[in-house]
Amino acid sequence: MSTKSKAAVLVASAGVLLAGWGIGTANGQTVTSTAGTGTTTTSTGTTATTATTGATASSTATTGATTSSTATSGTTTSSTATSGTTTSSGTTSSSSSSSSGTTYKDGTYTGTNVSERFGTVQVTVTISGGKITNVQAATTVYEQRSSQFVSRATSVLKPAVIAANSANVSTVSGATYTSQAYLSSLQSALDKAK
Amino acid sequence: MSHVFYSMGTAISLAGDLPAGATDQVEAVFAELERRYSLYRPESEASQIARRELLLADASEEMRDTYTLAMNWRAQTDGAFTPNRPDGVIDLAGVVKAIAIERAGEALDACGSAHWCLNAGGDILTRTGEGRDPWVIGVVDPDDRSQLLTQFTADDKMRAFATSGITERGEHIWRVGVDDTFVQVSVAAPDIVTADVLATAIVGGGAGMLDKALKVWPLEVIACARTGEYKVTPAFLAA
Repeated sequence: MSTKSKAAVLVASAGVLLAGWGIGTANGQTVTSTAGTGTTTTSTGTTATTATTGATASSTATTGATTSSTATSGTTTSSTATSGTTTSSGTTSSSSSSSSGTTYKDGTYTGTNVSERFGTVQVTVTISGGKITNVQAATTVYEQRSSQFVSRATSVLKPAVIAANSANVSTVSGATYTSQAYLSSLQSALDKAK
Repeated sequence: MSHVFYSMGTAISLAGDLPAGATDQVEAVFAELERRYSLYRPESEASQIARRELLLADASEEMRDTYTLAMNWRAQTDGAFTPNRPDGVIDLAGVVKAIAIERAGEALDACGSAHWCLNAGGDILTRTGEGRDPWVIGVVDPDDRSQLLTQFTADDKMRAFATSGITERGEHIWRVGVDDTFVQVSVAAPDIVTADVLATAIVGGGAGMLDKALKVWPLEVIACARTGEYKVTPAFLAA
């Protein structure tokens, strides 16, 4: 199987999870969950399932990757993955999957860490004997700070901005400094002080 | 304990609990990413792509993943953040440093460090140990860079902090349209890629991008306008 479709499988799985998040989430926690789609030991021919999903879901998966900001796109991805499963239940045997010419190389593959409205997700797929044996997603769900997710910015003048208490400051953030600028920066002074 | 080294054209300082081998691993993370992505190194994969010697489609999986990530952010910021330079060169620097910081953080965790602060050219990721003093980040005053304008206290929820501006390395930001409302923008976020990308996007995209960002992501922001006004979320308001 090409690496592109492999990536597609990862992203599709991510989409499924993201859709899941939208419904019910643990707050402010890093959780590890196992995706239902990718797991092997179900009754239908999972080998074919996963291969088919990977092959057909690639365009939808790309949608998930590039326009991911809405929950809707996540849902779309998830439904595609499901339809992949349904299709493959007709193909049943594992020989059909090898005839499709898409085989995975054994190993563990980790996808890009994707940021989403509700947090970040990074999917890891384990391939064994050419089949997906496990899909794990490490997700960080952003804390919901209030019933209103939205933070508001107010326009103020300098006196209304909280001042720095230099005695407590442990590190300094400014517009990206070059190596030379660093030498004259406050951070440089702090680093020398320690 | 602290440690300073140079990579990606900037100084990187590391503070906190640094078990044996931790600094070497962090330096290795930065070195590896610089080897692949630096446009200042003619032999890097990124330079080969820039010279059209290598098609993106034929590039390494990691390169394509990073490009996908950058394009994802381009879409989410309506183009205010983009890896596509006006001259056609793909410049992934806008996400690569943040990726390096993120991976270095994972390495520090894996080394067993429970309390650390990694500052790469003003972009910061922290881990606050239980019962330890929180990391307090000072923000440079864009009107007088020898002074601090304000501060932010990082915690488990808001671990990352980044500042973008037009004061230094102005070429770093590819502006969309003509918005020049803000001279410096600092963003606190749960992760460093989000903080870094959105600080860049808000400097480039102005007040419209700021409003959108606050609707979509959980952030604290201080944006310094050319007029001397500041747009601030509650964390930056004096009591």
